[in-house]
Amino acid sequence: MEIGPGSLLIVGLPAYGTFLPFKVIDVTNMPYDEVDYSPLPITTSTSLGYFTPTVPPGAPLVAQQTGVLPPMSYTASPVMFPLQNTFDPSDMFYFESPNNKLMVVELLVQPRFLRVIPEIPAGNIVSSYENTIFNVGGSIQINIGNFSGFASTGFKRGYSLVVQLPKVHYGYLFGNDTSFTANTYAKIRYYDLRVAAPTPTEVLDAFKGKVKEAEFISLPMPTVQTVITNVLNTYYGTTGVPFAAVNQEQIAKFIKPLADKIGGV
Amino acid sequence: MKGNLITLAGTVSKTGPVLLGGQFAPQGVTTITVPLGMKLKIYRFAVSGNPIAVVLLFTPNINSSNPTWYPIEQIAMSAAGEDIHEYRARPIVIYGELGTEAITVYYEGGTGETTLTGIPTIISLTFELTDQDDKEE
Repeated sequence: MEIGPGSLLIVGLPAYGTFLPFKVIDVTNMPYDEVDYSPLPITTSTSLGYFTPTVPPGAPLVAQQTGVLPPMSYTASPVMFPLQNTFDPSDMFYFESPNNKLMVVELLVQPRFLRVIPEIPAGNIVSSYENTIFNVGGSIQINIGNFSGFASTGFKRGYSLVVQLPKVHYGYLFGNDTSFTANTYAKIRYYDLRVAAPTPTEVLDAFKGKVKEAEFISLPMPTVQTVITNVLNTYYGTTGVPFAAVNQEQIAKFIKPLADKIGGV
Repeated sequence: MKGNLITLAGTVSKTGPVLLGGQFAPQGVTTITVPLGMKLKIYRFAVSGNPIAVVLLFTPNINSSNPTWYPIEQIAMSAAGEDIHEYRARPIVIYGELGTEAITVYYEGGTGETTLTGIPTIISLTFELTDQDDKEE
C-alpha cells in the first residue's frame, strides 16, 4: 500500500451506503512508519475462549505469560494496544483532534497463522456480506464476522488493515486454532495522515481510475453504529457521500460540509 | 499468506507417539492439527541415531474418541546413522478441509530409546502452515 502526499484515500462505509473521500496532504510519520510492538498485549488476565470441539486436553485456561496464545484459544474480549504517554495510554491509536488527522493502521502479526479480526468500534466485530439489489435501490448487510465458532468466518490470518477514525476505540480479536503455543509478535505499520477534502473532480477521477495514487479501504461494519454516526457528523459534517451520487454536482453537495470541517484543496 | 516454517524435534523413550518440541511447542506436542482452511506442508522428515522405525501417521478426525490413523511416510533404519527425507519441490500436503485433520509421528520400534555413544536418537519434522490458496507448492 502506498499512501503519500497528494494521494486520495476513499474510505468505504458499506453500512451507511456511503464513502468518505480524503486528499492526503501529508504523512507526518514518514519514513518511520513501523513500530515493532513485540508481543501482542495479551496478559494472564486477558479472558480467553476456546475453539470447540478441538480443545486439547489439559489446555491452559489463561495465557501462561504475556503475549502467549495457548493452543486452540482466542481472546474473548477486544484487545487494544496500550502505549505509555499516548493520548489514551490504553489505546495507542485513539485520538480526538485535530479534525483533519486520520490514521491508517496495518497490523502484521506473527505467527502468520493467527486469526485476526478488528472490531469497529470495540465490541462490534466487522466483516459483512453485502447483497445489493440495484433495481430496488436497497441492500442487505449480513454480518458474517464470527470468531468464536470453530468454522468461523470473516477473519484474516496474520493481518489487519483499518482506517482509524477519531474518537473511536477499535478492538482486535486474535485466535490460535492450531495445536501450537503461539508466542505472538506484532509489527504495526501506520500512516499518520493530515487530510483535506478533495474536489468532486478528483473523486470522480479516482473512481474512473484516472488518479494513479488512490487507495480504497472499506470499514465493513455490518450495521450503522451510533458512535460512528456521531463521529462522522461531528468531525466531517456528513456520514459520507452516497454511492448513488454519480455526478460532480451531487458529490460537491456532500463534500462541502466535509471541506467546512477539515478544509478543502 | 506466507507461512511460518516450523521445525519440531524429539527423542523417544518408548513405543508410541513422539513428543515433538520446538519454538511453537515449548511443552511439546504429539499431534499437529491442520486448521480449517489451511494446509500443512511437510518439507522434511528426518531421523538420526540408533536403528529405529518411525512412521508419519495421518487422521482425518482427531476429535474422534478412537481416531483412525493412516500411514503416509516411514523411515526404517536398519543400522545406526541418519535418514533424511526431504520434499523441497513437492512437499507432502495435508489440507484442513474439516479442521480435524492431524498428523503424528509414531515410534514403532528399534533401539531409539538408547543412546548411540552418548548421542540420543532424534526425530525431526519441518513443515509450514499456509492458506490453502497459497500457490508456492
